[in-house]
Amino acid sequence: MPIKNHIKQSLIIAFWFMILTFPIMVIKVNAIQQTIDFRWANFLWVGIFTFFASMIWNYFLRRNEEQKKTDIADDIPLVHRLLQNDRFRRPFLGLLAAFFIAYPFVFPMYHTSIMISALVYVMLGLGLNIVVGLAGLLDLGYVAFYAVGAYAYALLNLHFGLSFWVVLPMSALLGTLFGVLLGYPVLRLRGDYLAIVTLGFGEIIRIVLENWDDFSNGPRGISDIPAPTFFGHHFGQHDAMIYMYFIVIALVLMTIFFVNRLENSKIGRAWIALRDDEIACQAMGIDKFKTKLTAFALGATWAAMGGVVFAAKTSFINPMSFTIWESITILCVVVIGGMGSAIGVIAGALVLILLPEYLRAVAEYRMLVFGALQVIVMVFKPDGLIKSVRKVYTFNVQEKAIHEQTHT
Amino acid sequence: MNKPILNVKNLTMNFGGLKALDDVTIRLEKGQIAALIGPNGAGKTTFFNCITGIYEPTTGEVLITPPGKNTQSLRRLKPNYVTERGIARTFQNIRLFHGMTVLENVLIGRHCRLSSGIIKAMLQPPSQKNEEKQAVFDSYEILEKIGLAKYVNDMAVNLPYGAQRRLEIARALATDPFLLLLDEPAAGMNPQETKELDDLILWLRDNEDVSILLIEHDMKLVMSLSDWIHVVDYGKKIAEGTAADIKANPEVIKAYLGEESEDA
Amino acid sequence: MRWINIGLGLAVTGIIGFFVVRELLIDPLYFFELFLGGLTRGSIYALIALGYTMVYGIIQLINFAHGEIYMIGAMTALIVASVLGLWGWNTAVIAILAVVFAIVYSCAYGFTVEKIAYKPLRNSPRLSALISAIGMSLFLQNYVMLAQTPDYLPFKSLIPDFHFWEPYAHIITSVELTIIITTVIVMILLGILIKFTRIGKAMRSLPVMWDRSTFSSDFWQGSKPLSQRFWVVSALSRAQCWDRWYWVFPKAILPDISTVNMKMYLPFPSWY
Ligand SMILES: Nc1ncnc2c1ncn2[C@@H]1O[C@H](COP(=O)(O)OP(=O)(O)OP(=O)(O)O)[C@@H](O)[C@H]1O
Ligand SMILES: [Mg+2]
Repeated sequence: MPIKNHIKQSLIIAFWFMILTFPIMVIKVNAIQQTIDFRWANFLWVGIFTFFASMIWNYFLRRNEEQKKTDIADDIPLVHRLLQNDRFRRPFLGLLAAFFIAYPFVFPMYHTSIMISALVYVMLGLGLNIVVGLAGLLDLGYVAFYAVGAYAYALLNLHFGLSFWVVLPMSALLGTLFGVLLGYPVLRLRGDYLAIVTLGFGEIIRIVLENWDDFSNGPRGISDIPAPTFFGHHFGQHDAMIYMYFIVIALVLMTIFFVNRLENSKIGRAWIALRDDEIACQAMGIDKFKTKLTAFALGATWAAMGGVVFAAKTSFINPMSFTIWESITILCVVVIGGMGSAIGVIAGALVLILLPEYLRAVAEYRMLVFGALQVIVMVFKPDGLIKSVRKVYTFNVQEKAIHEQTHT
Repeated sequence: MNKPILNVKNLTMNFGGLKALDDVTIRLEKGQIAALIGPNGAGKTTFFNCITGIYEPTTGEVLITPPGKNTQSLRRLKPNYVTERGIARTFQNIRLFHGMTVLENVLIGRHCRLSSGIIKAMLQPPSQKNEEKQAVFDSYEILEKIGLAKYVNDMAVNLPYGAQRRLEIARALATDPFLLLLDEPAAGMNPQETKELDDLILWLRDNEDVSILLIEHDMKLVMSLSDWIHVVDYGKKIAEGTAADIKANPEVIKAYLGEESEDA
Repeated sequence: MRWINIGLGLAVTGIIGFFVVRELLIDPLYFFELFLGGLTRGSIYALIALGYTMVYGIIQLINFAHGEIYMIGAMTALIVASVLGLWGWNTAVIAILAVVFAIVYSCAYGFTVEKIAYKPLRNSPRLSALISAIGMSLFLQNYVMLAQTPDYLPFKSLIPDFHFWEPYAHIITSVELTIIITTVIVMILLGILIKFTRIGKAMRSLPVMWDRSTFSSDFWQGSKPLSQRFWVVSALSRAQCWDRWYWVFPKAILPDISTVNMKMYLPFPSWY
């Protein structure tokens, strides 16, 4: 199609949007002073903006289409190529490590604090990635387990004076337990029905926390939750933040370590098989229900640990921190990052949590931009920012011969 | 005489008012290649689904006698347990795991023969590592046998059509079955691929110690392969016998003529 | 297992039924007032839910932007009504025009949203479309909040108190009556649309084809006759549109719409 047609098409689209946004963008009624304000400048801006947006949008859509035709979905994301290449792997990981170690010392406390939040989301994202990305179970009540962890720490500390380090493993177990308890009745459902029911369960937990005053202190929440100590040593505010930062880094590393191992093990493969085709999966001898339940419970484990960290970091929690939107944010982290791809989820969490913070420059427009970006990323990269790449096995003929010798 | 390894007695399957299977009785001897044929919609796939536990038959019984073991019933067994007992199947509409590589697809087949649980997967003690290594090698070996070794690390969906069908067989074989159920393994294959499939099935019977029951519309393949043929039509079994018997059976001819006149 | 389920169901129904009947016996008039109030609210929600299911049934997507389009319909009605009100038009004309504009505009928004955020994702993982819908919802919320206001807005009722209804007005107001009647009419019309028209048939046939196993990309690439494809495509976008008009209608004439609306949008994540 020649460029003239593109321009014509974009002009039509621009015109459509000018009409479409007319009542809301242009007219503004002041009910008290009884005046109508026609903002004609907006009318023009919408036209100009949508014209160029449409040109760019269509250009990229066409390019995407052409790319799909030429190469058969075999493109490996850049990060994976870097990590696979021995020459680049070391320096790449080294730089990354250096950056994260230096981070809290270089940047002011405010940035460290944001980074801790983002890293907590990395943990949550990796946990939910097991459930949604690998096992393909759409769980919209993930925040329930996050709340369980946070309240476990807050309450156990309040009533029994248990410390962060004691509660962390306890809450992991508690998360698993809740995962099994909630998963047991709901995992018989399929697809979107599961989503709705888990959403309901998530809300139930929040509503219970909100209304059961004696237990959870209701909407007022629990404050003065202590930060973690270092062998009984309490830090000052600044050092505590840095200490917290490194704890979270350690936890994230642990998560990556375990999740990576799980992903390429018997159970991890079973999750993916279940996601891809339930019937074939069962016909291959996999217990559908047990596999789903383990995914659900393991996801819950990490959510609960994330909750403990969250409570310790903010030192104040109330049920408002655990609304459905929290679940949706974590889901966005997983899907935008790249379902089933651990590196993708990490990138997704960092982008999704850090971006709105740094979008503060455009103040009130940030959520608008954020929503638009979500749509754009999904339209142009439906598999997420960094899509998952399966493990490559190498077979060496010699090695195989040796292997056969030892085993026969 | 030995007990038949598969003994299906009076199997009936109702879908609402529709009798997809009506009192079907089939026996399969060890080492046999048997075929189940019939016009479209005759209930062949339904028969497989009833045996493998995907459907629960309305009435009837499925008994198996794995080599060296006692006879047991498959009544109300979930599909995964049926597979564990040693019956593996392929699907008419290819059902590979598209998010996985070829090797991983076969590894899934090994799943029920591996023992490491979650804790072991996270801590990876030597026992788990060895088991995993062994599974990978076993799977690779199966791929070599089936002739798919060159695709090991490709995504399953990117394989050519014929290779996808073979991969389904490889995956089923990985579960260590004594009985293999193949649902239209030659569908969509070209003559060359069909010929290779023919060889593969014979090779499997002779070298892998499996008996085979296959559904197939390609009569040439069926006649050349099968030791015994069962014919169903409208859910009822109308004939059984050797290839020569079936070719001469007037009822079979009628069933096929009535359905697909171009096959006459 | 089956009997346990039936038993549980009966028990729950029985308990609820018991309390309902008790209330009825204690104060019948009050009971009916509450009942009708509930019916009014219920019919509005039923209409919204119908829109949801229609979109869900066809594109198998939990349409997170559904509520926003509903809000835009209400907002448009409000703006039109206020402007025309200030210009001193006749109330009846205002009511009709407000409804017409609300319908047209929410249709147009539904259509546009589908084109931008859902259609390009038709062959992608379903969750990607879900996230796109969430993004769209967030965008539309903030768009209206920025262009208009995040505050509550008063919406003067466009329905007069009918004269002939006065004797019964203490049980059910004219507004509520209008809502219930409109709902019924609109539901019947929708039923007719789905059952008997060509577009309705296309809509009904969609979910079957949309099934992942049977409905693949080659459907779009030409294995089906062109005319069928055309109907499916237009049904998709039109479903996005049609599903609005019948609920925008009662909503546009309801006095408290804007309050219901604004409550619906919680600020997105609480990370700030
Ligand atoms: N789950 C089901 N619910 C209702 N009817 C079914 C179901 N599965 C199969 N049927 C019906 O049972 C009959 C037999 O179907 P089946 O798939 O077993 O045929 P088939 O012999 O495998 O045919 P083909 O050669 O086309 O594969 C058909 O009429 C089909 O419509
Ligand atoms: Mg079949």
